[in-house]
Amino acid sequence: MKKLISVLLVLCMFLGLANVALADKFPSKPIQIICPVKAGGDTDRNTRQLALALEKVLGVSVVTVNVNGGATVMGMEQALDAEPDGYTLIINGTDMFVPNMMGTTDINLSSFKTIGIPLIDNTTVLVAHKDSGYADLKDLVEKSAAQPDSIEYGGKIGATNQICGIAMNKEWGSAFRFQDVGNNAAKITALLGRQTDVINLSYSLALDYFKTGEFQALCLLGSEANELIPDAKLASEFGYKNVDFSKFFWVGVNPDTPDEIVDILADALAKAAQDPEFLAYLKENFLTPACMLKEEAQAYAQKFYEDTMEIYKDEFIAAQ
Amino acid sequence: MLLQGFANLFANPVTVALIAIGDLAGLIFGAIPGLSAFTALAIMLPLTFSMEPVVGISFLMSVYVGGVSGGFISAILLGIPGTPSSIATCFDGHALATKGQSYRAMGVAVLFSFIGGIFSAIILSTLAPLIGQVALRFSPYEYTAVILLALTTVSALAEGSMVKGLLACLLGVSLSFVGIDQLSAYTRYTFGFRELRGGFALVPLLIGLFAVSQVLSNAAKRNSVTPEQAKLSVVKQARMKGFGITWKEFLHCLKTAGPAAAIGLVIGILPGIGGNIANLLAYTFAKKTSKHPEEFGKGSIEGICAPETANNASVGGALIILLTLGIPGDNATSMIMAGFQIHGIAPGPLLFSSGNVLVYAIFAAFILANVIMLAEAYFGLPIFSKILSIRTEVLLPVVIAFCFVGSYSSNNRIFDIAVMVAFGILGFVMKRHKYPLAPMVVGFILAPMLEENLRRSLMRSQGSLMPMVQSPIAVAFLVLTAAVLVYTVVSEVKKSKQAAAAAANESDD
Amino acid sequence: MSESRKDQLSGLVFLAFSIFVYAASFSIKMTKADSLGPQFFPQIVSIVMGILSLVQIFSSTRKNLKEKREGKQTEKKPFAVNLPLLLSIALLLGYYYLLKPVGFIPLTIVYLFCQMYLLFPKGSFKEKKLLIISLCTSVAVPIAVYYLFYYGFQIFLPAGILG
Repeated sequence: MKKLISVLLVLCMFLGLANVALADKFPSKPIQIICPVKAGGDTDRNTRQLALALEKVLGVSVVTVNVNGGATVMGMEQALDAEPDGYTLIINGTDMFVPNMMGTTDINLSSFKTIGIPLIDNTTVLVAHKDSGYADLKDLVEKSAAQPDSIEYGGKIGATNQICGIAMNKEWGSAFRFQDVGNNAAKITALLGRQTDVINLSYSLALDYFKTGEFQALCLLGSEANELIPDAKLASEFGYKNVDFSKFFWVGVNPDTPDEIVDILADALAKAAQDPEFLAYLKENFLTPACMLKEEAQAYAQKFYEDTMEIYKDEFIAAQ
Repeated sequence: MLLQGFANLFANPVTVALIAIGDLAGLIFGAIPGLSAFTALAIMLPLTFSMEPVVGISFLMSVYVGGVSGGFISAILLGIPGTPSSIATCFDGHALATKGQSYRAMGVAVLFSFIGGIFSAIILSTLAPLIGQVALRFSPYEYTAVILLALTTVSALAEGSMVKGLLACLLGVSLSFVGIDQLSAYTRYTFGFRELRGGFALVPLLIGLFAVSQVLSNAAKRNSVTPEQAKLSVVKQARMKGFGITWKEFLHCLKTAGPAAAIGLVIGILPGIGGNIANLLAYTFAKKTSKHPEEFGKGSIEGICAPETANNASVGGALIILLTLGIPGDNATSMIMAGFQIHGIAPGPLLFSSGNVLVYAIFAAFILANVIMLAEAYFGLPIFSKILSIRTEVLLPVVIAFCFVGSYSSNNRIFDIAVMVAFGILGFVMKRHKYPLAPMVVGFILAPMLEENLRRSLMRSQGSLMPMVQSPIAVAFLVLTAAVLVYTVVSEVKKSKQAAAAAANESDD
Repeated sequence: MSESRKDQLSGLVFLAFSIFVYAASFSIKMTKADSLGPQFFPQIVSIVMGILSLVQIFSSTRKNLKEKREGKQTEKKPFAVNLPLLLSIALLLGYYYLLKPVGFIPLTIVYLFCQMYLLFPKGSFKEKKLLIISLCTSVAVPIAVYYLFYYGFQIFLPAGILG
């Protein structure tokens, strides 16, 4: 038995040696990007495309690792628990603020060092079914204000969806009744089946239904127009205040990661964001290229949170 | 149209070869407990980046078909479900294998997996758009009723004592409370453990309950056997030809397969409920309607045919919703959806109106994937049954090693290994006390959906249950639920009366 | 333990569990978005579970008393520690605790061999053939799996001391 154990030990050491010769140059082994939602959605798709572009720049494989659960908190925790060696990145978006707003976690944007923001998803549109017969946004808002709670806004409870509903009612004077219908797929189903009246949605997720005319994009929930989606006008064109629920795509890393490594990663991200194939992908999906790095990106994300989400915090908590 | 689809497919031999490879890969992933069709798809998806759209999607489709089918292999050989969709296959499949008839059991499973798949493929390629429209009429009210029916059927009609079945089910329900409450986004029952915030994941729970508990029971028996006895206990597996069943048996099973295929298809169509529930529901239905219910659990081939038909039929159902409406019903179909999007194709109504050629190529690929799966599994049968000639003492730990990999890689968290071990111990204790495990799994899967939909209904109706009673679909399902409950209670009372009478007779002697 | 004693015991455990679930439901944060709220379901489920476990305790106690009266009660077996079972549990728990620091390959090699040892009846490894088969499998499987996942599927299992 003893002999056996020593044989095993020797074998393990031998295998260990093969992997020791690294650590002088970053990156020298595969990098993981934690995607804090499950595989298959638009966030996951963006992550995988970014991974491909980063791979070309860094010369090592960049692998997407899905860690789902806890409204992106499980993934963020895993990134904070990982070695601060720059080999574990995390991506997130506006969703990262919600658990903190609700007080269910201490983790926030400032818990990480920001690498950068390579793209902005300015494609969130307010959608109604064509059979509902709303002429335009103004018509919808007026009908809703005339008969409070008669028009249902479907979304996911305890998520940015709900904050968006609060923001619209407050800024536009509408009186939508919020109803939980579930995630993106469920929202599309509910709208198709005419079970709910309006939803907010990323444009590319229901492209077919916009093409057939079944879905009607009433307005773009952003601060700037998206020239790739000409049929979705800003709320300001109807004389309302713009309610911005665009989504930035943020890449961060454990806060104890050395600055030299953060610099290398930020450089790589800047190059990856310019990769022609990555840009083509963005265009195809109506996404806006961006290239904000480190402190600039962190400040942008923080300001975005303060301007578009934090101001509705009290109403949001009260609605729970 | 379909013929044209086939013509397109066969024009490119690479496609056919890739379907064969995809089927095989799916079968292998499905056969390994802890790795499911979803894992296989997630892993294979990047491989399709460089393929032509039709080729890539056909490939993913074949991985899906293979992955859902492959679960029967470990279910029958080891009594451990290879995927969540093969829990019920264990009951009779493994019973047959312990009698030395693993070849026959697998033959039935392969054959009826194929029949279920082809049935759903035919429905898919003929009625898909129509069914898609009907499915859209399902609101939370109807969902609540359907889930209630599934939940009561499987737990009330479980093997053994009804009270124990219900207790096991409620245990599963209680465990599902852990984590984020879907209708408030606050956490419940986490007791301050941050790892519990995401709740328990299905994969580690399932393989813990079924696989780890198996190792523990075998270890518990270790000291009561001698090496010589252990050597003799390896069951000699009968060698057979064909699928191991006669024509008569086949025709007999076909009667069971009909309703099972329908159950699988309907369950597959409803987003969120998938092959796992279809598999168990079809088994329960077959058992209750069979002329020989007493054979169930002891190696009835009907008991293999029903669940295997149903889980493969659910694949076609899930594809109907994906292709016609662009809505992924479960994790596996959301990977296929991602595959579509990578190639710039959006599944949905336009796929049917604009790109007809593509749609029929996809249908043809789905049919071909089923046919090739049948052929591969058929030629694999003798090899699969050879697995049982490996000593269990070696085989089981290797299976557990794969379970570690499966638990970990399903969500990339080491904590899931702890979950798997904990449920292994729980499963072991429950088996010792004769509590059925299947109702617990069903409770765990369905309870969150029931709660979510019921609370959603009430949120919409502002606390009134009237809309549910006004929906004809919901009422139909509620009536069925009530019927199942009445039936169970009546037969339970009958059973205890009979037992009492038997006991009285005994004491008279 | 006789079957009815076992049922009594498991009924008690379920009763305790249902009380626990019920009690813990009060610490759930109440919300008002829907009329039922997040406490309703756990409470209903725990109440039904409590009732069912009482039924279980009642019926098994009745059976137990009857068996006693008829003298069918089996003689008590002395309580024995099942060492292979406990060691297997310890092995599995150890695997969880050590996976991150030690890594997949070395830990799985050790796990596989120990688990096989705990499954084979005492003295089986005197037979050289079995020992060699077990050893080879224990070493080959983890290495093959690790590299297959690493290079084939780009899934990185914990590398531990080898990373």
